[in-house]
Amino acid sequence: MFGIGLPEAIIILIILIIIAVPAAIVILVIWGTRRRADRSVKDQHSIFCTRCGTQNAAIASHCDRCGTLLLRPQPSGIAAGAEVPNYLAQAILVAIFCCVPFGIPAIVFAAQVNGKLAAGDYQGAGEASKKAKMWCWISFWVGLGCGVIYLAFVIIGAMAGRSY
Amino acid sequence: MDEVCVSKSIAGQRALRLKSLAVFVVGIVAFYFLYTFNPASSTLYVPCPFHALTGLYCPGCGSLRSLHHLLHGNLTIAFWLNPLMVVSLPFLGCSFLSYILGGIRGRPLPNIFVPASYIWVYLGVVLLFWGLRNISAYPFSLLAP
Repeated sequence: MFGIGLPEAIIILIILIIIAVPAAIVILVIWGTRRRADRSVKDQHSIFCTRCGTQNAAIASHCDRCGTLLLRPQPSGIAAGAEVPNYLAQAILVAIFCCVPFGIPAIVFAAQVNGKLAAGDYQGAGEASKKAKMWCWISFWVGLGCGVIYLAFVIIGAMAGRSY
Repeated sequence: MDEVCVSKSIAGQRALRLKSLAVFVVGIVAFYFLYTFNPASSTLYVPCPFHALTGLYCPGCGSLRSLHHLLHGNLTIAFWLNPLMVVSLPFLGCSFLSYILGGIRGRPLPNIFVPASYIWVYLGVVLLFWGLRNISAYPFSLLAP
């Protein structure tokens, strides 16, 4: 049943290419945005502690001297902590029903959203939320792509008079 | 926060209503198909791409058959086809329901905050389940679909 002939090998090769190419693009895009984000963080000016007034590095999350959480002005899109969606249900859904391992990073980022929200890091939570959403969609579209490929082969098989 | 809500209330409400209606219709159609056709014997369903490529089981393998049996009331068969899915189902159902209710209300319901540590534990369970169900020795072979 699992013996691989030439047509099956070609099918597997096509599926591999279709999965590998978007995955490579996605990884490159993430790499690019992360490096840009690093640069923009370095460009920002430093932040002052609200409790003791110590000047801290722009990327610091807690005050160097007293350890107080450094509060930054929140970006306009995120209004309140509880309203940052973590896409956990969607992540579990794609991890279980799309049968593609891309659901795992979605669950990782969903956990990061809630972890960062609990720590008061709303900006980080917003970023993790976006990544969780992105991985859910990647998983969804790859799953759908596999479905379309399967459908195409069923139709080709039916037209050729073979039954799967 | 109020300004944000007021400024995009009408368009936002309509978009949310349409989205939740679409999700509801897709859900109902999916349940109809799952009830009527058995995934074990029908070519209607897409086979798991991970299983087709590697021959190994993924954490979701067996979940469609499991749902089919669940809709027919065979709880035990459903559970052993994919225990992880059956265990996760209450959470998924709760999220589905709150999404639909949010759509009817026109505003999303406030989400229940799950502590991050619970999600990390769940992730661990998923990965462990994935590994263990591929071991063909006796106690682990129960986890295979």
